Amino acid sequence: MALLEGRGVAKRYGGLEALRGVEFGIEERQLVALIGPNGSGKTTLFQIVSGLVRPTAGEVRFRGARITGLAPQAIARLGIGRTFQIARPFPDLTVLDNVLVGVTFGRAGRLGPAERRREALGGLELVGLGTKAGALASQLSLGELKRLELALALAARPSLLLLDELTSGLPPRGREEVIAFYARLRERGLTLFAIEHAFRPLLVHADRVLVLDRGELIADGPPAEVMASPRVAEAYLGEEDD
Amino acid sequence: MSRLGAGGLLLAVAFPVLTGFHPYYLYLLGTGYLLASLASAWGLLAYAGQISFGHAAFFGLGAYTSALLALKLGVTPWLGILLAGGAGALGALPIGAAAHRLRGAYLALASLAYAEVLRVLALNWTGLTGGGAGLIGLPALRVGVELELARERAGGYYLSLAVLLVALAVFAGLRRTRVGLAWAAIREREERAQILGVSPTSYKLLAFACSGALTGLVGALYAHSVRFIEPDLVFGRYFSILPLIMATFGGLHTLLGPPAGALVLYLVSEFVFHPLLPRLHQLPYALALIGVVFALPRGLAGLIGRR
Repeated sequence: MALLEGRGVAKRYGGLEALRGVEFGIEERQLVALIGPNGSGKTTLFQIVSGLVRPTAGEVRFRGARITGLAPQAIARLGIGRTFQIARPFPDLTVLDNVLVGVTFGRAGRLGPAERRREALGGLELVGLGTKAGALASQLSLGELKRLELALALAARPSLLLLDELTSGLPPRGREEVIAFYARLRERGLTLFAIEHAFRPLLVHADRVLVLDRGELIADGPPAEVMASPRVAEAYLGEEDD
Repeated sequence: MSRLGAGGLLLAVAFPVLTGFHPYYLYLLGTGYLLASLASAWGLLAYAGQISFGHAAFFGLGAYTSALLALKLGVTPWLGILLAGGAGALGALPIGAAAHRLRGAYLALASLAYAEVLRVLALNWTGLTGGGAGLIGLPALRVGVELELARERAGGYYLSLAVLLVALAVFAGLRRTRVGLAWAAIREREERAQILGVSPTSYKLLAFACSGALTGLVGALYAHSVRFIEPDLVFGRYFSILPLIMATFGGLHTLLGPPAGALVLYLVSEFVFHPLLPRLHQLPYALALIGVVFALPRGLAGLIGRR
């Protein structure tokens, strides 16, 4: 059974069909890439999975149980973490307090205050922000914000991580580091579902690729096979690969 | 910080002795502490990201609860002010529930309307509230009048000071718990807090209940201090707008900013503007709000660089 499943997921905004009958399944301990041209519905799909947007039709299931209709915090507590395309930590809290929110209200919440603090500091070390614990999140550089995004999402101890363009805005080397980090998280037992606009580095590590085009899932399979598909090449016609 | 705080506390405790138990100064500063508690209650809600334009609702509920219990049922004001705190908390729950759907300016307008509804209700429910004529002859809170040390107003002074200190201690403690963390997260980015497992609705309700409880208690203390209340006063815009200005001027999201802002503004208004421009003695509130908006976005606290 797939860890995460979409069944006929559709979303309509007025006359615009952002998603049409999307069916997918994501197996445990896989790194799955979600790609597609601008406006193809990738982020909308993440919004639906994390409960911030309700689909017009269809449903999402996690470990076999329907999660569509649950509040975002309930979905988070089931073990679905998420980063945002535009890094959105809590600007006026310290970096440590930011991560503490995730630790305290996620699945580590039963720990005592000292253990929560230790876990939060450990999370910051993991993403290389150990020395920034006392800084305000609003003082971080873009690269640091992206790391904080990841630390926040990991703090809740998710089993599935939705990663929305975490590498955009980073230099090529930074991108490769982040993607290599995804692969390490997969080795640790996490399942990752990642959107990347510049997807080449991601495809090196991904187990599978889903391709959306104008709200429809047009390909689903191993990277090499999907990238060879004429349908995918057509979808990307005229798009810059940056 | 701690040295400044200890010095201020010592001064506040010694103040009655230093002024020779001058009743006017004790009344003035005692009222200043009540307003400081009111501003802190408003500030607690702002800490959780919820802006109220209608704190007079909880203030008036507290004032009327304790006044009516004393006048109609002969309940001692000591019990009355505690029940007033409960009334303030309960009275804040409908607005807290509305905060589930309403954000920012919409919530602020709803709270303003809520206070207005209660004011009109108190004006027209003449059988219970005495309507626009108000309630007179409220019993005073008797605080240690038997003690030789505490003459006339000193008891009320120390009670107001104690309420403020206890409220600040409770708020300081709450800020360090998971409740305080949830409030700050909801304030900073509610959606992000949800994605990390925080349930905004229950924490918002809790913030409204805490803020309403302190405001109701302060309203009752005020009622028993002035010993006369009427709907246009305790449910009026004055007690809605005043804590907003005082807390904003002192410094939003800080612990000591709101009470400091309240004391500074109230004392400047009473000591400086009242003698000079009696008809314009509320001018400093307007000036403070304009000053904060244009020059001091973090208020007094930002000026001295404290959080």
